Amino acid sequence: MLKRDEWLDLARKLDWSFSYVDEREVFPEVISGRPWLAQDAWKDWDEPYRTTYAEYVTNQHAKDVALDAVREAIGRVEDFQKHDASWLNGLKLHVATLPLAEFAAVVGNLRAGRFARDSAWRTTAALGALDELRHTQIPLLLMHDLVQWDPQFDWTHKFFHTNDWVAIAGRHLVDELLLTANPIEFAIATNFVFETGFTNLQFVGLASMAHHVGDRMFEKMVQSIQTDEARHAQIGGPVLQTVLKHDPAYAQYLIDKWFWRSWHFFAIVTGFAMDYLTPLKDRTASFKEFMEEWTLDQFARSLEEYGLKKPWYWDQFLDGLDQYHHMVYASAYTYRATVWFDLTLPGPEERAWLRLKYPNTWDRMEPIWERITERARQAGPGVEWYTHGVTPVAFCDLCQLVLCEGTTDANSARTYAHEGRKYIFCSEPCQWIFQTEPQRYAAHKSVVGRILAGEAPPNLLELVKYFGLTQEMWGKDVAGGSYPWLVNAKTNGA
Amino acid sequence: MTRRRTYSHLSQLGRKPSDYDIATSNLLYYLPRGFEIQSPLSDWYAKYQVGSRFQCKDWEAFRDPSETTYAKYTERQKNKEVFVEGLLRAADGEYDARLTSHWITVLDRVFAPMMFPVHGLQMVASYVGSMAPSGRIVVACALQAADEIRRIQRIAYRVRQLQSVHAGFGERAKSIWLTDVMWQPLRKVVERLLVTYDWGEAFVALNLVVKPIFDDFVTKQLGEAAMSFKDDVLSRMLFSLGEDCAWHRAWSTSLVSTVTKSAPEVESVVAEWMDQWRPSAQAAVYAFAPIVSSVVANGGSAELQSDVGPSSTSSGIYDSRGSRVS
Repeated sequence: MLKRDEWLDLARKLDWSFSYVDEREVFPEVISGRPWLAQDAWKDWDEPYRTTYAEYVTNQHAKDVALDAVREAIGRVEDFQKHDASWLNGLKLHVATLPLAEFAAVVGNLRAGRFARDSAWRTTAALGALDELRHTQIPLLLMHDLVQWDPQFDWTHKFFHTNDWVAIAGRHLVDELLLTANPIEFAIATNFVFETGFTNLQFVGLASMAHHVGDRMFEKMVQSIQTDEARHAQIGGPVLQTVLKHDPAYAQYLIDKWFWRSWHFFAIVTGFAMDYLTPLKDRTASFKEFMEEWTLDQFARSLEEYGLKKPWYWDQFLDGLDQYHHMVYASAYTYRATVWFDLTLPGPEERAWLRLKYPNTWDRMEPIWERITERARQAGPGVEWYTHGVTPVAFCDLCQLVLCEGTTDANSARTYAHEGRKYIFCSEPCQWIFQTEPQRYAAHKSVVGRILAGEAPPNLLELVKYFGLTQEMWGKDVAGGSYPWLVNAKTNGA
Repeated sequence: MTRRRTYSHLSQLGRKPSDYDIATSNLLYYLPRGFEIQSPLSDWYAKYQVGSRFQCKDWEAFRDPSETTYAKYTERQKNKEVFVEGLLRAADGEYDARLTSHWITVLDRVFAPMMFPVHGLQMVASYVGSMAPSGRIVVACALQAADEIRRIQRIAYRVRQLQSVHAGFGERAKSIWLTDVMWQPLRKVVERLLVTYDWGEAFVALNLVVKPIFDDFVTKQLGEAAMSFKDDVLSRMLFSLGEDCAWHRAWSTSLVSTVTKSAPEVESVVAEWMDQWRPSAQAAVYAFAPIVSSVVANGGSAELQSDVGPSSTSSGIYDSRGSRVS
């Protein structure tokens, strides 16, 4: 047989000059992206890591067989029941945000399969669409049987179809990042920033925790997914290179915007899992440490390689790394009936660990948990409402997450008037993203905006129904308030 | 409370959900709620997806008759690729040296340039997938686009093999595609398909008209010509690639029947599009008649036949091979 490199190039470069239609008609800027350049400018687009179709289907089939074997061995309900309850709730959070977002990425990749400006790019994106289809179907199939045991796993499919506040934030991100992005923005935002910059947090960081917990199914699933991501994420680099040559300011803008938006997403999904929902004994590092190792160092290095600057808000981001996900977690814990997974009340040992890992900021978080712990003790086991908020909270008009940037004593929320409407943002970068392209975001209503417009109910119990939750499903304290350390224990974790 | 057995959206199914049910149902959350942001593509979707005359009350009713999931697809295709690799292994230098110079000339002109139009078909399949209003259609289109990649790569592989025995073979593929009169009608059709943005029309033109005609030409006419020139390897390879095309046709037929069942008025829309596209698609393939006739004159038995069914307007919808799809 011929070696791949002896023939594959013939099949990679298949663009031609159109005679019967205009190139601008075939690749309208609105859907193929800016800067609009003639094909000639893209003709050297090159994916460093080549795969043939035959290799693709052969390798992917082998991976599915391997994963199936794991599923057969340890994918039954009884196997999941063995895991720590709070870990399982981290799992519920993850698997809800995964499959339908991956399917939005199928759509985004197919758009690139049509409108990307070089044939090799289009073909790599089309196989990327298949990868994302795999990442849609694996978790849907793996989690399916778990709904018999725990109805919260229903959100594996349901989440993106609901009006839950996290789902609204999720769609606001995914619609722009994956579902409707043009191929250039998709390549830089999704392939370069999101996949290259952040997903190792999950694939390496969280997978190592899954290993410690003994959740081999989750570990093998994310590792199997990672091998696909590594292949299609390589689309980002060569696209970025060409955009940098023609419009470096736009390239920098996309990096800055998407690093911030991706950061908020991972702060919640991965931050919650690593610093709160993984049992203390199984935590191999803190979320911040993983971010430093897998995102900051590597991402900063790759920006430098491309001659890009760190995002302008880098210092604010570094500050946030010490506190943002802690603030959102505390908010989520006290509004747990608004989400589809249970949350844990961090005990003295956990808080001591958090103080160790976040020495600069934990002192500000500690009093919050002391107050919650005191109320939990007074309420006793089984009483959820005494440690639960009662009035709806405010959300950022950009990221749609609760206003949790800044610190407990220095809130960074800010307001901005645009065409007669007042908007509120959690942070300067969120406001900056909004102001740069207000036409994308101005019409959107946050949860509070919906309440004020009469589209969503103001009463929290009713609002939770609007979110798609029933009592059976909504989040509770993971231990029902029964913690061995809670009775007659000191509340101070220091 | 009764015990939950499946995801809530499948609870009314009335049977145990299959892997296909679980892995392909309700995957597009943006329908009908719309996008959370005002995307620059919001208008594009409003015009070419929501505004298409290809409408169905319940897009989720569509099912791929083969119920193809990702895992099923890679397994199926891997096996086909093992078969084709076996064929190609047989096409060593000796085999290629035995092929007649006339046949090599035909292949140089008709086979090698084919990578270009097939890439166009790959692009349109991707487009229809990106615009389709049901997850199951998206899935079928994504896999169809991958099938076209398979076809391109197998052509490329065979071109390289032939090149090592017949110097210069395939080197003019692109210029033939761009300038040879024989290819221009097809090139015009493919370029027009690329700018057909109504997703329904793009689907109908691609999968009910252009592909059935073109795929048939490749699998049957060219395949039979290969056979008559004792090029079994190519004939069998084209047969294997033709199996993919048969699946494209099967799921498309199923989609049209789902749509016309729910919205009979769409039948005339489909027929109208088919009538619009058919003449140029047929002309594109007829353009190859001279060379296929010359194949016949040189001892081959293949003929380019008019293999087109009754007009769609007579009664029911027929794909361009004459099979009733509705």
